[in-house]
Amino acid sequence: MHRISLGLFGAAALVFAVPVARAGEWDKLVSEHCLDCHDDATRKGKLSLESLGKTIRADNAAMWLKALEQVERGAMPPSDKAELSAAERHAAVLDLEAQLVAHAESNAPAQQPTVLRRLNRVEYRKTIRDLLNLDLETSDPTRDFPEDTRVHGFATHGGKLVTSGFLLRQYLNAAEDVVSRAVHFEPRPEVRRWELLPPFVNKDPGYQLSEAAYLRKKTGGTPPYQDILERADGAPKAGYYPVDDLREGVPVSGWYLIRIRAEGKFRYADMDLKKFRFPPLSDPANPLRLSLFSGSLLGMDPSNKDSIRTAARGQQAGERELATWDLPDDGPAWLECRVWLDRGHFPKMVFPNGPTGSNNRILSYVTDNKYTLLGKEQLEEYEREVTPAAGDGLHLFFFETPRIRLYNIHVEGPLNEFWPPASHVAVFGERGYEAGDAPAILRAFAEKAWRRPVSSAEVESFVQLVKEAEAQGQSRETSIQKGLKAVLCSPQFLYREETPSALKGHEIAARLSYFLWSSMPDEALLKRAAAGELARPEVRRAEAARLLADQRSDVFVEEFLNGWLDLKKLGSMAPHPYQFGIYYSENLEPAMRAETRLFFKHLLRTNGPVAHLLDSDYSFINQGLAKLYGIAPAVLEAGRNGPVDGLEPGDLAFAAAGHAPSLGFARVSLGDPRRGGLLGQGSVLTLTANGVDTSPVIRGIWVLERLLGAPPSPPPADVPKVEPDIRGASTIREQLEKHRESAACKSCHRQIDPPGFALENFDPIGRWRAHYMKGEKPLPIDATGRFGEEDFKDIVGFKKGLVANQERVARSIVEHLLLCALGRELNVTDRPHIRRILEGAAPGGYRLRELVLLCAESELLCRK
Amino acid sequence: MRRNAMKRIKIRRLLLPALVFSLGVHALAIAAPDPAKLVELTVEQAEVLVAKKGRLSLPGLTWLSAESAAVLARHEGELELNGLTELSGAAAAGLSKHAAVPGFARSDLYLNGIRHLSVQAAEALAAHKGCVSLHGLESLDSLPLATKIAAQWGEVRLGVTTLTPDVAAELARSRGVSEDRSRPGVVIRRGDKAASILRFDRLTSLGKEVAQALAGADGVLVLNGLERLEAGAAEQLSLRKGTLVLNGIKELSVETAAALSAFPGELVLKALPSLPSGGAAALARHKGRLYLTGLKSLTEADRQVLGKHPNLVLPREIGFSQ
Repeated sequence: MHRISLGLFGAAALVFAVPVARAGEWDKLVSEHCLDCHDDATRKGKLSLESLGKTIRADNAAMWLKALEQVERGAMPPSDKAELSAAERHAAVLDLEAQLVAHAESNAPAQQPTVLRRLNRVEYRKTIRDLLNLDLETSDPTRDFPEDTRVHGFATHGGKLVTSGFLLRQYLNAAEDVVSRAVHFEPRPEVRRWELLPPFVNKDPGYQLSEAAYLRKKTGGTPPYQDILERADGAPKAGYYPVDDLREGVPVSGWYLIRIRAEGKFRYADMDLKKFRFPPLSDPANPLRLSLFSGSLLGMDPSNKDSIRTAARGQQAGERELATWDLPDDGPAWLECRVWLDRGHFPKMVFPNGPTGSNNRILSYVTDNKYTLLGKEQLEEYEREVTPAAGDGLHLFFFETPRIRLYNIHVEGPLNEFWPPASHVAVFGERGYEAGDAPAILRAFAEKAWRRPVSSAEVESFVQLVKEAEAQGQSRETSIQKGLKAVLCSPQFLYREETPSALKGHEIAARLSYFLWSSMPDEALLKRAAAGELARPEVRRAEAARLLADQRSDVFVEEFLNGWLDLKKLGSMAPHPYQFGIYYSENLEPAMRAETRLFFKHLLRTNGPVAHLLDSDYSFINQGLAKLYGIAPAVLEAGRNGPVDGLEPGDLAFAAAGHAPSLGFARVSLGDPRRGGLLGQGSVLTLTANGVDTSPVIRGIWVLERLLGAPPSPPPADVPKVEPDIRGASTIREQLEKHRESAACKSCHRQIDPPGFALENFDPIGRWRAHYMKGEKPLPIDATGRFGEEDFKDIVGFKKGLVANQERVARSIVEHLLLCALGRELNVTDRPHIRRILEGAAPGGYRLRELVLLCAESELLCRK
Repeated sequence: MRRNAMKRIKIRRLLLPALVFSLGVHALAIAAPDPAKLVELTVEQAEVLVAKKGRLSLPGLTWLSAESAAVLARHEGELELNGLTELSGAAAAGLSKHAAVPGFARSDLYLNGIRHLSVQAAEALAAHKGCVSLHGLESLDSLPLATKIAAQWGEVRLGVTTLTPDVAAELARSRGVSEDRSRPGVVIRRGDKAASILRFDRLTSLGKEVAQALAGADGVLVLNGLERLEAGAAEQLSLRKGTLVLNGIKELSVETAAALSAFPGELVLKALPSLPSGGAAALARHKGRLYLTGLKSLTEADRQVLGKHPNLVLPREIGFSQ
């Protein structure tokens, strides 16, 4: 475990021992430390604090705030000028902050309260899930919604969550969709059973005439098995194997039991890397795997065979991985999963770690190397059986290449233990829907959907809608569904209502639940809201702790990291497939994302210190990441023993269902101090590169913006970009040093470059590299730099500097937490609240869960 | 009247071509023999068959007259006559006029059933301008035919049971390249980039001189017919580069193993069930990829010794792999 310097906390406590702003401290600082450079005569950086005026006004408030931030972060006064003690600095900051807050509060309209906030896509989906008790994993009702605009990485900014005519139409479609999936007046559907024999896929004449015909000839009956030889590959991926007999999809949504009898064959096949023009992507050290995905051809024109084939045989938008298994090598075994399939969806099989994405490549390899791959008798049999007339498909029967061998597929369902299903009961209760129930049903439904108490009068128009439908001759069951859909399309559902100034209890409840669950408040939270208890900070804290302990808070980890670290960007700049083949062969993108989420979740659940985010001696990795990081398999295996504090065993399993221990994650001790913390994780290092090369500037800006909460100003328009040196004559450091010769560039790059240089030993996917390679020529990497007042030699030294500045990182986290929770830009009046949160967290060493709970406790959460 | 006459003329105009077409189709259906069922070929039948372009396969044909051969030679496309077990000099002369297939083909004239060729027949075939496939040929004495085969595209595969050093040396000149007939001057290399492939499945013994002659071929040399290999021949084979496939060898002397260990390329011994005493140490000195996937057992000492081989493929059940 990482040891935190207690001395630092002592220093932090000393800093915060100046609780009250003392007038005159800022003026003193300015006159003693700033005017040498920033008076009217010198105007260094074209800034004169002398002419800015001492009184805070609308026209100078922003500039004074900027000055305050510079001083607060230690960027000003420069270190080569007179020494400024921490206490002096803090006192001055408090003084100016008090003046700025006073000015802002006296000019209230200039502030930016949270505007009416629409549910974003994630919130809509999670709310529908909880409101209707529906499993939405295989069919996302928001799949056609436009992407939400993100501000500071978060899709929660009320001002940017705009609505369009297109989105309104999508709301109508989504309401139609989810109500029809939730409400079931029909009798319990019959359980159907499909017991399928080979061939399962490619039941077209070509296959029948070659492989299947050959197997029939050999066995005298049905082909005993079907092989999958190629991996799903490409972007979008191709090489999916749909179960042809189920292409129309299951007739009814529900839970289905899928059983597949299969084995992995020829995992250790002789695939000589040097001979294979396309190096095999499978690794004999890993078991062969079979994955199941859900697919659907609903809404497609059946006469358009090309597009049907492409959709069935390839990756589809919104597809879901149903299960993954490690396959046994020694004979077939039954693999089983119980998965939710929506009507019209069917299972598609995938060979995720097959040798290559092209059967032709395998064919070319085996036929070119038949004399070394086949013994004498095998060669004779091969040449006897495989004639030009028999077709190319036959070749591969005679060679040993890694493959999945499928024997049986059984599908059974829908398996409804209860009827009507839970979604129906969520709306109509156990008693069911009877004549005259519409007003009560609609009111109860609206109360849940609108997340607040609802009067009869408020739902009267919805009741009328139901009555009118009935009067027009529609059935009672159809008519009530109209009312339910109308509730889901109402502004009260789609927008989060918040009272100006102090929020009401249920509004605070919604703030808490959308902050930590991206969903509606549960019954317990609403109960506390109704009792008026949520105005009390300790109650909010207790409720936030309860919400965080629930698995539903996984979405908070996901969304917070998407926003704070920009993790959503991972994969948007795909690494070069030839230079970084391991990224694809080991499916590293989801693994990298999972590592960072597990690391953060573990820290959150165990209330670990922020310092661990910056440097740690452990992480959560799987086989692929172990390879990337150069960690021995034995270290990974050792990490698999025993439970991990704060995490469920399911958290460490990589696959949704099935059984694929080879993909699983483990907490491992990192022997190498260079790797620990976020800055050693593949996710961060890949998302801060462009897929081909690294840039200290991009990585440096990321560190400043995300970790240190101090984004640099954008470059002046007249400054040229740093172009990569394609001749390879100079290193990026040499180029940046030249760039910094310009005074306009120097002030920012002095801050930006050092963190970027510190990360230069990590290549664009996070592998350690000792030097750059420009063609055949190795160029040295210089990872030294200066951070704050300290020089560092490499990433290890830089991380020490970061840990020493952990309060800046804690502030950045708090600011991002509030951006996420409040849905608005932060302003100067938030600063005292943020400081109080940090003061509360400092004595404990800025522990992560504590920061979240302090945000929940903060008065900011109760104010619009 | 006039309108009726015009109508009759119109009907005749329509009916006549239809009638002619129908009769033509009928005649063709009667005349065209089924190539797969033919065991003899008359000149008339040959004339009908060569009217169609593309691959013409006559697998049941066991004998061919010189006249029919002359007609078949006019066929535009590959000629597959793998049922022929013998070929007269005159018939060979006829077939030798067969034009190479335009564009690109693995072979133009398939005569894989022929086991023996007279000197005249061999020399006649040597004059053929395309690729002749003679997989079943058990003896080859004709240097011109050997020269022609070595110059052909793709692998050299013969059923020869013996080879003379002269013929072996000639065949070893094969480089596995071919000129693209659709692009004169453009040379096509084999897909697997092997310098050449020489394959003699029925060669059961190999003298030192023939081995020395074959050493000139640097590609893949397949000698699956050999069950034994003397050290002297092995020494000669080891002078070559590429791949040496000896998948018929079930016994190996230490001396032969030692000689083969000097072979710098890929050595394939898939039929070898066990190693002689000292064989492991000898083979461990081999530097290329070594396939011993037929081994049924291995002593622990041999395992240790072979473990030093940098590029060894063993069966998984008896130990380490690759």
